[in-house]
Amino acid sequence: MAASYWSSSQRLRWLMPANVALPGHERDLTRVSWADRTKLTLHYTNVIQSVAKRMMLRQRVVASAMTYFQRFYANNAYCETDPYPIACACLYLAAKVEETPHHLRTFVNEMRELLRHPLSARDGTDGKSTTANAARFPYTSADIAELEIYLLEEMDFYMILQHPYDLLTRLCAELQLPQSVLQTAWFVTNDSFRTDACLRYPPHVIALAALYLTCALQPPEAQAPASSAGTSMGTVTEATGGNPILGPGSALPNAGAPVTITERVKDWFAGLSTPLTEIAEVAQRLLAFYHVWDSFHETEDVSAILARLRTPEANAPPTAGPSTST
Amino acid sequence: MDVETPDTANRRTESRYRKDRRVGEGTYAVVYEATETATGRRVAIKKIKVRQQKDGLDVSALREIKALQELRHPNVLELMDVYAHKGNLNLVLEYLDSDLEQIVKDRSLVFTAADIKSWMLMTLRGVEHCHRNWILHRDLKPNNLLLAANGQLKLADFGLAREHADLNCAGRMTSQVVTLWYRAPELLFGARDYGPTVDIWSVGCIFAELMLRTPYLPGDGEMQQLDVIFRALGTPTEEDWPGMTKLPQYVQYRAYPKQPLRMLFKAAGQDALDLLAGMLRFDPAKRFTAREALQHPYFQNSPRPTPHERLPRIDAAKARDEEIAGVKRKLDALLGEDAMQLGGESTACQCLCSYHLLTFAYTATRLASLEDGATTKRVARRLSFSMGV
Repeated sequence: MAASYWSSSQRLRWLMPANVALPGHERDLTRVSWADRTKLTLHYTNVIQSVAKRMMLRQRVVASAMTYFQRFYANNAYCETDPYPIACACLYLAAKVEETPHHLRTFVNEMRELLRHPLSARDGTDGKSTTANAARFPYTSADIAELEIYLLEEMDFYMILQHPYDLLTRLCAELQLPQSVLQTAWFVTNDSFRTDACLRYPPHVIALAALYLTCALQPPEAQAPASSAGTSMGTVTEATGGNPILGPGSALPNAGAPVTITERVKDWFAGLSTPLTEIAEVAQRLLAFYHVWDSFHETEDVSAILARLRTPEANAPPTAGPSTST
Repeated sequence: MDVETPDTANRRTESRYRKDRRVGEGTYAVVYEATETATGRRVAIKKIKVRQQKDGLDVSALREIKALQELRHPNVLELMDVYAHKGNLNLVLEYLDSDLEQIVKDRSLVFTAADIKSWMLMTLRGVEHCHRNWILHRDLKPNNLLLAANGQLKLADFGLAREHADLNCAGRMTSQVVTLWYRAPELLFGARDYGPTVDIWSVGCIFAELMLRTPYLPGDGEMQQLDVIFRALGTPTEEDWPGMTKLPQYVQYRAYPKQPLRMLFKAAGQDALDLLAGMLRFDPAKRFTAREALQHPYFQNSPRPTPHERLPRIDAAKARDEEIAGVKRKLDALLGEDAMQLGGESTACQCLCSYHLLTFAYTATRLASLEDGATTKRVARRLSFSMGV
């Protein structure tokens, strides 16, 4: 993180209070539950991630694109817009801002390719109508170019972002943590951009929360002998169960060394001047998000949620009943 | 539906400014002089041609918005507002009518050591602000240091600026930045991993130019530029600049001897030469940072920097006269050409004539906006003569 975070537009213009509802989210939440909206966000950020992967863009670009996406949908609602072209514009703009520009038509083509199949056909249950397929991304370069301007306006033309990655890398080096910890914490940080944490907390808090979650849930000692067991987040949430914010390594076996890595990290966290409550809040948000992700079946869920979201409120289908919160 | 609100807001913003005249056109933008209707404040509006860009918003325009939106400092050009109108982006900027290049070139102005110190101080403060925010300007030159009516100097033209906060961007930046005469040696050797000190080299060159009243290191091409640099400052060895020979485009140059700066800068104080030498060190790691330069004794020693209101400035009336004279010469030349062409009767000739008439019309409008009654009448008469034919 750069030294100038405190005077940056990211903090002064685009840092939202942690517990104030965002207008865009509010309008969606009258139609679908928080969990369902989270699943949609997960789907759209997946699209960003996949296109970025196909184009071999850096993670930093992905993080910026997802933050732009979150910024846009702070004041706009999924139910009023089509998020696919917005996602495309976010990625296109982020690539330019992070100085790795690509042609706009490349993004459009990749989006079209990715969204060629209807959602429900991906698992082979519904393979009908290839004509309807194109309809998921019927946009041209000119449309995205126009959207780019709207996106910029929505962000009040503030584009420069600081991300947690640099700090995370430096912290892991300073604490002499094994590579596997950095790896996992890095993945957790990636996931944080799929939540609104990037709008509500400074990057250093997110880096610390990612590091904290990693050390608490997959203690470095336990990881080393197992030679970095899979970093599937599903297992993480299972392992935590009730209260994950007890403190790092609260119930961990000592690996034998006089001062274990966990002990050292615990002391280090205790000595931080960053408020631990903020770190804990981010960790809670991430855990809640992973909990939703666990029960996410992209192919079936998204079309069902979208159907509910796009139907006028008055005649909402009965299926919407149980999950719609008010 | 989400489009409604910004549109209304944009129309409101658009009506807040009145475009008065077109002052210039760049590669990606047209610049207008305009007035903020509520306050009568003069502003510049940079209209970015979006619709013509097939590939979204131009990268330079984006860089400029992104950098200026992040920076707020008395010595950095202020971006007052941004709005979209009819598919174009408009940047509302402070209106500044002269730049340091004009001042340097105006032989009627005499600079004191205190004046130079004042300009250097303002330049370095602006640069320090950029660097503190992890932004590299990458195109510092006298032409991009604008001067406000009250003498304040402001960094402008961030079309090449980028941030370098990211550790991972090392080795990914392009070395094709900065106007040649102000380009640091590591860039000329093709370095892709460089830092804020590329800007400091440029500031060093500007400092020297202020003292010499002529560009310090004017090379003719990329290869020749290094030759000019080494001739002036001596060819560095691997000892002076560790890692130099490993740079991507390193080539060995003739070994010129080091010469004391005093040889060329005869009138400068020792502290000024120390600062200059610090900013023109070959090894980017040893070159001063903006902060180090600002803390240099040069700025504490006498003479004190001139207050910006009392700095030499371009006489606005005189500059206007010169511009008018230039336009007149052009008009006369065109009229002469036209008279000759009018003799012929071919279609090509007619095309040429109408082209010239268009040019006249444009030039006359400009002239009218610049000049007072008497001369305008004369031009109008000439024009009616041309039209009659």
